[in-house]
Parts: sequence; structure tokens; C-alpha cells
Amino acid sequence: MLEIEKFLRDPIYGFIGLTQSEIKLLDTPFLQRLRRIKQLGNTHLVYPSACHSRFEHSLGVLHIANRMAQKLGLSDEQIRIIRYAALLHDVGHGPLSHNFEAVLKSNSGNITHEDVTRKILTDDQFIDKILGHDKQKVLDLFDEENETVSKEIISSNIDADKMDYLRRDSYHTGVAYGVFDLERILHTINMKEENNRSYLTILWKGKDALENYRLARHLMHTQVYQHHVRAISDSMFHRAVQIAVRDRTLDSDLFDVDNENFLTNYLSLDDIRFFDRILSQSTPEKNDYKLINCLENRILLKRGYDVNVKKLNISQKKRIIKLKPSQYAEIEKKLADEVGCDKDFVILYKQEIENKLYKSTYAYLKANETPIIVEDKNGTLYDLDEESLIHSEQEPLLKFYIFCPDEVKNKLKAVAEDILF
Amino acid sequence: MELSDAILTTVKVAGNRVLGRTAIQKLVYFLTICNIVEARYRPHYYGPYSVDVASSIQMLSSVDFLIEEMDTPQTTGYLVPENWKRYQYTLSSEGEEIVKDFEKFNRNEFENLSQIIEICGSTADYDMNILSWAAKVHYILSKKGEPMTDDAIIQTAESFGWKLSEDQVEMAMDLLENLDLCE
Repeated sequence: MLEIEKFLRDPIYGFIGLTQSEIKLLDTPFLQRLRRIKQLGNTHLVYPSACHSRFEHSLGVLHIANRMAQKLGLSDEQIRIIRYAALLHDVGHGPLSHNFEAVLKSNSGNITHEDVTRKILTDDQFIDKILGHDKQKVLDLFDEENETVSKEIISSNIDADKMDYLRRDSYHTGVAYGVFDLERILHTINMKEENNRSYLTILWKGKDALENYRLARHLMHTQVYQHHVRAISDSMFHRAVQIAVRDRTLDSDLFDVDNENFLTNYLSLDDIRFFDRILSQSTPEKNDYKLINCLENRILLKRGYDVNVKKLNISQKKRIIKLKPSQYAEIEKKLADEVGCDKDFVILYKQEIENKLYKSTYAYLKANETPIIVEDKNGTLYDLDEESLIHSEQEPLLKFYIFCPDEVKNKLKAVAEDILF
Repeated sequence: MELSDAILTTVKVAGNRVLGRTAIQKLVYFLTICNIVEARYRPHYYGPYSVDVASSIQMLSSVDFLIEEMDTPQTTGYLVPENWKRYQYTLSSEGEEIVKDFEKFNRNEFENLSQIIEICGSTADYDMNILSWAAKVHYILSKKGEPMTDDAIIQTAESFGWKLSEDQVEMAMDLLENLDLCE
């Protein structure tokens, strides 16, 4: 049995209990740092109260993961490891959460925050002291090839992470879209074991709660995570970092995971410090400074060109779907020259909005490559996506944007298609 | 070859109709094995599956080059039979035009792709089950890197959560042999 030492207040679940070791983990600098990393990055520029942190989300994931593991009747040891993994799952996040991940990816190959989490767990001495022999078992739960139900509680299509963030993000943004019947899902989760693998299933009677969960996920994406103002502010952030690296305001070693100082540098950053680092090392006339300063004051670029790709003619569609990010800079420069602004402030952006609610295994596979499996009373398994009686006739949406300063918006609108196509 | 061109051309060569998500995934799987196109595949419980392919199909549907339609159920019961739902992929007129252009300017690539897809048609009639068994067997053989008995294949399949019978392995081997993917 776990010995709960302390209870923390939480706005979603009431109280969250922690063991002594978990309290020690919570008190380490790398977990405390998560207090200073906003869960939703720039989303507070759209929804002003979305200022909650990765820290409280990590506690929420521990709480849900614990309930899932208890319901499945896992052993005390398995539950202990799952709780550690849940608490630690986001320690690899950089400033502005997923925003920084995009920065890492563009500067350091395909590095994700999960890779950084693994690196922190592997290298950090504090963790060794607290987790001892459990450390490797925790690391195993972050292994993509791990085929156990414990790993699925941490990362899958119905994991503790998503079940926490949908409700928590909904609560803090003030929208109701992320609310779903958590209790029904927790009541109907089950596991299948065959050979050396085990995985989560949901009993057939919980299928409607799953539909509710998927709808919540879909609506949170369209209304919050993929809001166009967030897309603009995220693009401005990426561009500011690109410029900072290009103009050597920031040392590119900062993003090189193989550099021996990578973790020290990385863990010294949080949302405010990262902005400060650019502002203090750049100068007001430089574009990285200008973009960060604009973000701080919510002076955002505008949509100079905005199109649903489906509405274009065949050759234009072909051009957009084959357009690679490596070709963007050249087009941005042409556009900037034509409208008379700095090329750093013209940003091309392609956005896929998945709105095929119940034909959306694709989107979920993209996210974590696991379908949601429903189990009928005979134990037969079905992919929920294939069995759902509800589906949307709408095709997914592919949007293409060009963001630019407000003062050149109309000019850009007039020349965009000539230059793009 | 770009993945989007490969998917559209595959549908065209298969008679402008591919039935089932599994079928289109597995047809492209064989194209990747034959180095016609690049896509990452990972083992899922229904066989090797590619997020790249899934994503590209979605993008092609979103611009109306590819039409993804679903059969509606004939039953009114709540617990519907397995596999009642089947997706059908066809090309739109714009999709056809893209393939025509591709064929015109990339004759060799078009022919190489056609050869593989046509073998899948003549040997397996584009049946998603046979394609799926063949992809699973190929995945297992390529992981092992050496010849295996049917029993060994069936046993290894279980470790991926895949159930294969001897007959299924035989049918899979027929297709793989015709594709020149095993001896």
C-alpha cells in the first residue's frame, strides 16, 4: 500500500495525495521549474486566464494515472512506478511547452520533449538518489516500444495525460468543451494481456463516454489548441527564436542535445527567462527583440492571406500540398519585397484541422499511434473508430496562412496569390 | 516519388477503387519495401501501419483529390457486426488529372509502381485481408532477417499480437513470392 504523506489542493480533483518520495521529487529544481512553464504556451493571448502551469498538470496526471492503475488492479510496485512516471512525464518541456518543442525540432533534428525527459532522468543525480532502482523502471515507461498497460496509462490515446489536460485546460480557459465523463471511463477501463504484452481496453458500456471524450478532444483542438491567434503568436515565437539563432543572439548549442551543457542550459530556461534572455542579449532595433517585445505586449501579426486550400484550383492545391517548409523563406522574401516590409515579419503557415470526428483514427495515430480499443462482453476487440455510429461528413480542413504586420496586410492580400502560384 | 503521388497513383492503378484503409496502407507498404516511395511503418495490432501514409491520405482528402467514403450499416442493432464499416477510396476528377500529369512526366516511376500494384491485384484481388497477412509476414521475415518455417512465423506473429493461420501464411507467401519479396 502507498503511504500518502501529504495532500495538495487541486481545482479539478479536490485533493491529490503524495508519498514521501513523490514530495522529494516535487521539491527538485526540475519539477519546480514546471511552475514557471505555462501549460498552453501563448494561449493566454486568446483566453486570458489560461496561465496554468505544467506543474499542476503533472500532479493531475499522477492522480488520474493512480486511479487507472488502481482500477486495473495493478501491483503496488507497478502503481508506484506509474505514479513516478506520471509526475515526471513533462519535465522535458521547454519554455512555452510545445512551442519550444518545435524550436528543438527545427534546430536539433527530431528531438521531442519526451527525449529531453529521458535525458533528464538518465543524467540527473537528484533522481538517482530519490528513485534508486526504480529509475530504470520509470524510464522503461517512456520507451515507445514498451507494450504494457503501464506505459499506455502514461502514453496512449486514453492516457492520464490527455484525460487531465482536457479538463484542466477547459477549466482554465473558461470553455466547457473539454469536459467529458471521466468517471464513466475510469469505471469501464480494462486490460488485455497476451503473450508478453498488455494493453488498455474500454468495456463496451463505456463506449459512449469515449465518444464524449473524443468529441471533447476534437472541440478543444478547434476552439483552443488550433485557434488562429494562437497560431499567429506561436509562429511569431518560432520566428523570433530562428532569428535569435541566425543572428547569434542565442548560441545554437542551446538546442544541441549532444552538447555537454545542454541540460544545464535547458533547465535554466522557463517562459519568462527565455523571453528575458532574448531581450537582454539582443537590442531593440533587432527583429528577434521586436517580435518578443510584440508578443509580450500582444501586438500580433495579422492574417494577410488566409485560405481553405480546398477552395483553390487544382494547380494551386497541388502547389500548397507539395510546398515544403524549406521553400518558405524564399517566398516570404519575395512577398516582403513586394509589400515593403522586413522578410522576418512575413510568415507562411500551413495548418491541418482534423474535423472528421469519427473517422479520425488517422489524427490519433499521428498523435500517438495507438487506436482506442473497445471490448464487447465476449472479449472481442474493436477499434472504436471503426465501430462508432457517429461520424462527420465533413472533410478535414487544410488552411494556409500568411501572417504579416497589420500595416501591409491589404497590400499582401493583393499580391499573395501572384507570388505563391 | 512523393507519397501523395504514390497514393493517388496506387488508387488509379487499382482500378480507381481501393476498399479499406488497411488495403491502401498495405499497398503502400509494399511500395516502400520495393523502394518506390518512403514512409515509416510500425507494427500495430492490425499489421504494419504508417502514420505518414495516414497523414498524406488525410491531406489528399482535405483538398478533394482523393474521395474517402464509408459504407453505411444495413443493420439497426446496437452491437453491429465486425467489419461492417468499410472505407472506399476513389480519385476525384482532379485526382485523376494529377495522376495523368504524373504519368506523363514520370513514366518510369509510374510503371515501376504499376507493376507492384498490379501484382497485388492479380494475386490478391486487392483483398485487404490477404494484403494484411502478407504485410505481417513480410514484416516478421524482415525483422528476423533469415528464412522461417510457417510455424515460426505464426509464433512470432503472436508476439506482435497478430493471429495468423497456416493457410493465411501460405496465401501471404504467394503474394510475397510474386512481388519478389521472398524465396
